[in-house]
Amino acid sequence: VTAFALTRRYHFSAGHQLASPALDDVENARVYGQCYRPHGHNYFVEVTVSGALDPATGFSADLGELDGVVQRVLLDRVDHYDLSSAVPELDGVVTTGENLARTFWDWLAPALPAGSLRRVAVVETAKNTFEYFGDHPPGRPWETR
Amino acid sequence: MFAASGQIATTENLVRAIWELLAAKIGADRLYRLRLAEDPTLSVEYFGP
Repeated sequence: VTAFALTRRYHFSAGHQLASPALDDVENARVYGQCYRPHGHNYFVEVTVSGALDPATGFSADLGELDGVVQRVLLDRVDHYDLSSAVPELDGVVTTGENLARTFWDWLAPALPAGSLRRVAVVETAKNTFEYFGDHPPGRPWETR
Repeated sequence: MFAASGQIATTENLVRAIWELLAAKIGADRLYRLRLAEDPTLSVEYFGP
């Protein structure tokens, strides 16, 4: 089966603070360091979907639909909000890159064509990127599905 | 080239065409993945037929 993997890159800005409710002040400061202080990021989110080529259009995905879904279920919820206090869907989530990538996956997967989501990557800084692949290990699109 | 073959120059069709050009030169078994970026926000990967 021939498959293509299409990756789209989105941007949002948000504030957050890394703190575990299970830890006290001293322990949170030790575990999270400067991330225990309220701060913000210019996040990028990469969303990869796979699909077979439609010979009539030459497309493997409906880009307009993908953009619309990401806008509605992700960007509208988080852009220019404090992720640690102002996003009800993130209540109880320590907003590390790992947790954000998995949470974004959980928001996107049911809103996209069944089985098409391949990868969500949260780019927190120029140095930190967190990738999540769902239940499937990274690899060629058709080998892990 | 694309117009003559009736193909639409989508990123998917382009990356596949580039794959075929490269495979003919360096061998299909040596190509693993080809990624073509149309702009900083959109790229398509192809892993061969």
